Amino acid sequence: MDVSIWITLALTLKVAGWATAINTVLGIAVGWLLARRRFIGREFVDAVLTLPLVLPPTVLGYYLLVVIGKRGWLGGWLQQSFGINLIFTWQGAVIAATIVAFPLVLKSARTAFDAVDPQLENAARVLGLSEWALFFRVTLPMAWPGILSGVLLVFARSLGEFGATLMVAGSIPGRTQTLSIAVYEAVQAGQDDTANFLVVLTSIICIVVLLAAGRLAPPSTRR
Amino acid sequence: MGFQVDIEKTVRSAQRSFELRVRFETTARRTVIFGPSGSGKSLTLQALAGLLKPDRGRIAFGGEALFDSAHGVDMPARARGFGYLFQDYALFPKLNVRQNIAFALHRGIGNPSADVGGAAVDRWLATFELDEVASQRPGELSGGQRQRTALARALVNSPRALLLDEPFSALDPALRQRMRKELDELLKRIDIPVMMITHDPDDLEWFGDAALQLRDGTIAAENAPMKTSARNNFAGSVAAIRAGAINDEIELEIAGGLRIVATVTRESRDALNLVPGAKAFALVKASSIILVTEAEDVRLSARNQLAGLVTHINPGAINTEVVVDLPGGGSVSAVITNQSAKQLALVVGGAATAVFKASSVIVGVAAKAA
Repeated sequence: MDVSIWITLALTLKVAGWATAINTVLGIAVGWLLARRRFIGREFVDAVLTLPLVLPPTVLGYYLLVVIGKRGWLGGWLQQSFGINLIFTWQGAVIAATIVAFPLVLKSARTAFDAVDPQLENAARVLGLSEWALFFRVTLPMAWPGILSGVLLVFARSLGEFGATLMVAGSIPGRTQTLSIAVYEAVQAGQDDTANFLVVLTSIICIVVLLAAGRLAPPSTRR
Repeated sequence: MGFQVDIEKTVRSAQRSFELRVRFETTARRTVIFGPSGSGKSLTLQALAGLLKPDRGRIAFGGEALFDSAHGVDMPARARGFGYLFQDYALFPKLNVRQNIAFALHRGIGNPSADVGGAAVDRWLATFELDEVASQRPGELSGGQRQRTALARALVNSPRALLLDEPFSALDPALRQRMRKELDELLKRIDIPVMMITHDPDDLEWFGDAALQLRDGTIAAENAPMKTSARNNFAGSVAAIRAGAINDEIELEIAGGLRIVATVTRESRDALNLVPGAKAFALVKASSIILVTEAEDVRLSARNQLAGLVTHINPGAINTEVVVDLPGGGSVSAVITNQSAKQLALVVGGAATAVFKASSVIVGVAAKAA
């Protein structure tokens, strides 16, 4: 078997890992804001951030090109100020996967924070805790099982991300070509053996992730 | 050490708008805010604790402002130093009993470990007989154990006052009676000011040194300190205090310049802040009163002898209730046996003197109602 498949796998896990890490932090922060803070346009913000769930990935990829492409307002500024280019890089693939998968963790986190009894937070306040301490000692541990199930879905979704990633990062073997894109390339090139192997490999990883999600997440319902 | 409260708060929901306007002052050891659900008593307690911000007004404890809209003071809940017992206890479900109790002692952003120790934690575990369930989670506890855990958690930090939100409503009636007794004994031991809210009149009997009645967001009963099973409730002010070796004697001047003499312990006198001129009330059970119809040339050891005219005689199956109107406009209600009533040959309009011992008088102080 071609050594480059293992490089592809490593790259895929790296992209999915980063996208998951970023989404965990962002999902907790934004999910908490939407659940616990009242501000004008709250539901509108929620709707906009949920868009990636329903928009075709190619449409998202196009939007991303407009924003972080060399002539995009953010991409152009990064290029001129720091010489940073995101298009056709693995970091670009991370951004694409992050945005596509974000609604999954956001929905889980908001629901999980909504379900935390505010009285428990009040109890912690009266017992002398600062807002930060009570978040880490009461709110987050209570919401964590729900958030974790969202985090695992994000990981699975990032692993399989295809459309937006292809448009932003392309398909450069060993640099930006992830498993799902490699499957497409192998089928196009008539390399059935490679395609078979990649498909089985991807399926196994996804089953492992789902089993892990099943083991880790239920405490919220099993409690 | 007492509470001074004068706050306003409008709470709006989709269905209704609720106006809370509460003003009271209390120095009693135990104050009960009493009222039906939806009367605003929970909001009042939350405002005291710093969990609800009033629109305007002032809250002070022991002279220190906790909230003062005029001066921009709003001390956060964590700095107020009160213990708070939540209605459903609000125990942390993922922490065991030991961790729940140690919660306030542990600083930083991590929770205490499952086997957290320390003298204070061990002492409260022992005090509340929770040693055996120390490593269990709240979900595995009985109602009484849950309440004791919540109390221990609230007290471990040596709070300067204890706020109790409907402490017995989550318990079944049999357990409720037992827990009242337990809490009563505990409160006597820890001796810090207590503010309780309840809709249950029975709680007043147990815990109301002073009581405020809330209805529709305002203090409903002005100068009507408590509902009590004692039929005689005389409001007045302390006219004289005579210190004794063990107990003190308080002379209370009531309507019409009449005096009621009561014996109180030194602790009660200090706790209720009974000083000359202080407003107080005297409770006397109707069954503690003896009626005398011909008092000439009779000397009695009982210190209280209030003479008046019989206005009502209500015979029952065994006992008769007799109401005697006093010169000052008040009245005394006495319950005597039917046989005694017959022997005395009581008639409406006839003279009678109500006699009762100073030791059968219970002295209370009302929270000042606006």
